[in-house]
Amino acid sequence: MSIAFEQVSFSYTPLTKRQKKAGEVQRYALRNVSFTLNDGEFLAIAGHTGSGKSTLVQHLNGLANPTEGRVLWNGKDLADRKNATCARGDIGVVFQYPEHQLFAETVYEDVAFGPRNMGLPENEVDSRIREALADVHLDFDTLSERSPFELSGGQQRRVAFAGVLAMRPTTLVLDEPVAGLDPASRADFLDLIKQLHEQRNLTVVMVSHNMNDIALLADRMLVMHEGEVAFLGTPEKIFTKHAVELREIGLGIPHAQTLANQLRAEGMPLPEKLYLPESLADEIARILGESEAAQS
Amino acid sequence: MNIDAVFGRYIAKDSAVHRMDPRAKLLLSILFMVMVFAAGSYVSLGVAALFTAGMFAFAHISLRQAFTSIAPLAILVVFTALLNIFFVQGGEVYFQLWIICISQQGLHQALFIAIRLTMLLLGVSLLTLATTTLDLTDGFERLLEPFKRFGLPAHELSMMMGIALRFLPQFAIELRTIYRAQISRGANFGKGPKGGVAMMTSLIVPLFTSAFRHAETLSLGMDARCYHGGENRTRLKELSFSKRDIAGTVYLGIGTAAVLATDLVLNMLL
Repeated sequence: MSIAFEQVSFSYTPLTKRQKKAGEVQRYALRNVSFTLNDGEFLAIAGHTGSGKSTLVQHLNGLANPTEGRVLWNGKDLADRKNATCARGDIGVVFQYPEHQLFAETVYEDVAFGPRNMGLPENEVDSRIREALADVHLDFDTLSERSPFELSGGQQRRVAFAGVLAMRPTTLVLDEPVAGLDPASRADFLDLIKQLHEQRNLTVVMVSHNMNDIALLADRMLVMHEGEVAFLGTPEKIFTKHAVELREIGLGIPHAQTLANQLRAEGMPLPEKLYLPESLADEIARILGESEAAQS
Repeated sequence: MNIDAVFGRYIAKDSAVHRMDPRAKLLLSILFMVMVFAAGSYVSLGVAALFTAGMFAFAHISLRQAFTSIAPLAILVVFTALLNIFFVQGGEVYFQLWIICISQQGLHQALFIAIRLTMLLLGVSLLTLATTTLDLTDGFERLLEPFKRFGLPAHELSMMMGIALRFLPQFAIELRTIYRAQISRGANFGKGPKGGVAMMTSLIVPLFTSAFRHAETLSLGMDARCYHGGENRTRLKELSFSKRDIAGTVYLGIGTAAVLATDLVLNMLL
């Protein structure tokens, strides 16, 4: 469901009235952030370390409250504790390295934590655990009674992920979901996120450093820089129009896009759009084919 | 979950107290305790308080910072004061209900001990506020060195102390992250006794696993750097006593003498 940021500013150390009178300058972690998260979209948040991404994520379910401005969830202010508690079932947040938050004796019990906190009856809890484990491609029969600490790192992360999915959120917030995974698990995990987004129609917010992942998955992207929104738009627009600025704030653009931009600068007639490695290869093959045909 | 309020977190300043030899500071904190315990009346306690305030002035640490750092231990002071109110009897009785009896002596004792304890905490917190953990463990090790011949593992003890101190803020940060994650999964801390236990497990178990993880990484890192304990280790920074340390000793010596003298004079007058 929709979440709207209305001119949100946040400071970890808000000044007291006396300090304000003394003319001290407020330091903000977020400054005047406004955007609306649309239903069913895949929004990527990119930014350099310390740009305010993680602070932004904490505002999405009321873990942090704006110093100035409001965050609205279906029109309700998340600064209100009651609203925030309701919102937490609906907005699932998966933090960085979620496997570090596992605690229960069995996988089953760990995944059950969220649904039980929501006060659901046991049979409902059980069916949700089965569904959530299936969603993250873990086998219920072999794994549900094992200790989460015996599992591999990738499996642990899936269990933690299932723990959030079992609450059946309509919005999924992922803070660098593939950090520290090997290439194969990375690809699997991103695939999983894509499936959840497309098949379950979940609204996804993903914080990521990796521009290739963003190009592959996101409908829109939000670029943060020093606590402010630097760019908000489709990856296509941002990667083609703002490549230089992105590099200036310490972010790159996807590999395929870099190559496309360079080729265009060298005079190859490539249209300005978003390229994935496959689509760029096709385009180059087409152009080369045309020029060969013209020569002969 | 305020991590800034960890007891006695180091505040970097360039002051005479900061530059003192850590051994001197450790020993002088014992002298400080003697001074505070020597005070037997409110007047002499006031004299000790003046000298305590002076210590913070020399360290360039404001009393507000000092009180913030001991704030988490306020419960200790309150608890001790309450014990004294209820268990020390004597003098005029102000209030009596069943076995609860509040008397003049009890109130007097409670107030006196509360002030004394607060002052003690302040003084001892100055040690860690104005000394880096590295210096502190170094000083600790050197002080224990004479006991090595009796088989006391001085180096290992101080190494353990150093690691423990180093990881306190780290765990505070991790606890906060875990807390946020469990809150996001609908955890409601402080709802019912049974719920409460389950909620606490959801914080403590991940914290412990993280402690073990850190311990393993740390020991691997120490092994990789050929750490082999304290035998034949040389130091980058040799500790040496200076005029500052003598000045500090004289200062606290005068403080203790002043406190004792105040009580003596008061006794003679009354």
